[in-house]
Amino acid sequence: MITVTRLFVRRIISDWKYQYQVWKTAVDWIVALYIVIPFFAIFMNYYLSWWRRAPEWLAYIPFNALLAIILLFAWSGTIRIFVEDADQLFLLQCNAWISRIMTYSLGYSIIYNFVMTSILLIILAPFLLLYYGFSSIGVVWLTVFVFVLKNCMGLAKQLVELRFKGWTQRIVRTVIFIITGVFVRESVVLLLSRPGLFYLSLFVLISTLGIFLDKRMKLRGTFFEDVAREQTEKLRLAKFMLQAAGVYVKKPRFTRKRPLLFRNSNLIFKRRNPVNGLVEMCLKAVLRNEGDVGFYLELVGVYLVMIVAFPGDYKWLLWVVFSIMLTNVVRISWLEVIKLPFVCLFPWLPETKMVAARKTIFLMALPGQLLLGLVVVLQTRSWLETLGMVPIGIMIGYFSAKKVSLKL
Amino acid sequence: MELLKVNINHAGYSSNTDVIKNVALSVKSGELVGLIGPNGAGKSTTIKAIMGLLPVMDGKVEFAGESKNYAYIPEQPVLYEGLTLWEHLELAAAAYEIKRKVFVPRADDLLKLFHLTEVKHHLPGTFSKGMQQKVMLILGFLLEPSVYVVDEPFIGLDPRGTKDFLAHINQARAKGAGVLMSTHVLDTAEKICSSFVLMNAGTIVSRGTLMEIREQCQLPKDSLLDCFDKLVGNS
Repeated sequence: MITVTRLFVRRIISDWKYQYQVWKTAVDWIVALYIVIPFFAIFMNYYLSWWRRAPEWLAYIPFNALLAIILLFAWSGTIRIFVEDADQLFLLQCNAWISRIMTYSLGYSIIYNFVMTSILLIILAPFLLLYYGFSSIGVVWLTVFVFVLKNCMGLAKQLVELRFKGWTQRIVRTVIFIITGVFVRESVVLLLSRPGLFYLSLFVLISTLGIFLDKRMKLRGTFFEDVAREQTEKLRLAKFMLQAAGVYVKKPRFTRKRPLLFRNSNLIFKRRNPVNGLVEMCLKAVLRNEGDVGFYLELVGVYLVMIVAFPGDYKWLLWVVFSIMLTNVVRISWLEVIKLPFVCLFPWLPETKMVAARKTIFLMALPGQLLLGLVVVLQTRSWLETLGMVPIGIMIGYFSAKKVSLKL
Repeated sequence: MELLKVNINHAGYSSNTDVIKNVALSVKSGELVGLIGPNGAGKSTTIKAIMGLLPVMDGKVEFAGESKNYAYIPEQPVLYEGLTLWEHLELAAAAYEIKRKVFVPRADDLLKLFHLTEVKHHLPGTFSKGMQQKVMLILGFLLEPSVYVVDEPFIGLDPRGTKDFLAHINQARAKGAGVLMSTHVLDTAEKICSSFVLMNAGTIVSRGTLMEIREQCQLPKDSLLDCFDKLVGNS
């Protein structure tokens, strides 16, 4: 007879099998033999050498970078609730079953987080012990701290998602992230300097986790959001691999009735033809997708930091390299749009698609390219080159877009 | 005048298995041909073969008529949630190079007919299934093609939507368009279709007007459903 425990175990096994299948498609035995195993062996060799002597490059990594790693690790991931769409037919009526599935799911996620935290801290241990001045017991306490923090963050993000929507949600998440950042910094500093106060902050964290767990268990009416989240989590790896292979993956549904940008379906191009129609659609689709815009800004941000960090003449070289790289990245957005089932309903000529690709990729990459160029000019103060920067930037953008669109 | 002529020897999703075989049908100007059959009979596969969407296809599909174009209205709404309803129409107009002075009034009329004017600048991801289906119908009608290939149009449509759809289809037929429509809704099909193609197990088991099908079944006064039941039951 099927019991709730068996049902849950079956779901966990099925999830592991699914993830294994996804891995297997990407990492077949040839990849494993020639890439993964050698890479692992090299890593282990380095890792063991770190235990003998801290690597010299650690001198370039500030303490704050270590804290940032801890914060980002704790912030990443979620607490999974193993519910499925079909549960609404029968299971949803059985409170006892649903509530036990919820308990088991929380327990499973907590154990999973413990394993992941332990792996991270085992990797970081030689740096912590030999370079950053932690004691062995200090590393153990840090592991406990990160583990509790990761569970707290997972639940906090989930509770915020269930309670707030849209911009409010984003603001609340950002505030929590900043507060957590400060909390992590202070707590780790306390662990090194005043352990007594660190235990106090750990106690506060454990209490918060208890409150969050209790709140999550008692929350009702979240079934559909739990199912959607679980689906996203289950498909995360598969989606990543499909996108890496250039396959169109349906993006989450827009919850807004009307878009924020081009609210009245305003036209971008006055001249209407198939090329402009495709370009306009792609630009609007990307500009309206917060994820795509965020990714673009993050990427430009990273390029910007690298340009700022590198000395004099390299900045110009980096600008050219990053301009070309940016073109290649925005090409992915184009590929996603052109493979949309709706777009495939219409008979586009190959020439139309190629010209539209060139125009779209050029227009999407240009703002980032010009911004990076502007930073180079401001930093090098070579105002004469400023005059040349705009046309050169446009030329680089145009020719790299042309080259990329020919590959499509 | 024959607007669509289909002659499929065999077609399917892989070379090992044929999903449909020996399917021959035609759609004349002003005609509404009902493609009917039980689940898994091969109706949607036939439509996909006509659209050229199947990897394996041995046969010939010819579109005739003045414009030689067709509109395909799929069973499942295929929409892009990042674009507003009006932008979907804009893209279709751009793809088919419909002149702006023709496109704008035509699109406005269709939105009015299907009661979607109020939401024309909304994102269709928030629409109900029926509203999304209406968007697909509007996209089809926007092109004013010589042939309409419609897959299960009544799924998700409310009675008023069904009525508006039928009225517009009849208008198009009156202007000379031909329609191939796959459907399960036999009572409606019986009232509106000029002829039928009945499929079962991947092939055609009967064809003709309701009268001719009744004769084949020897059920002179029975409904299309009864004839369907007898033909599918016997084959």
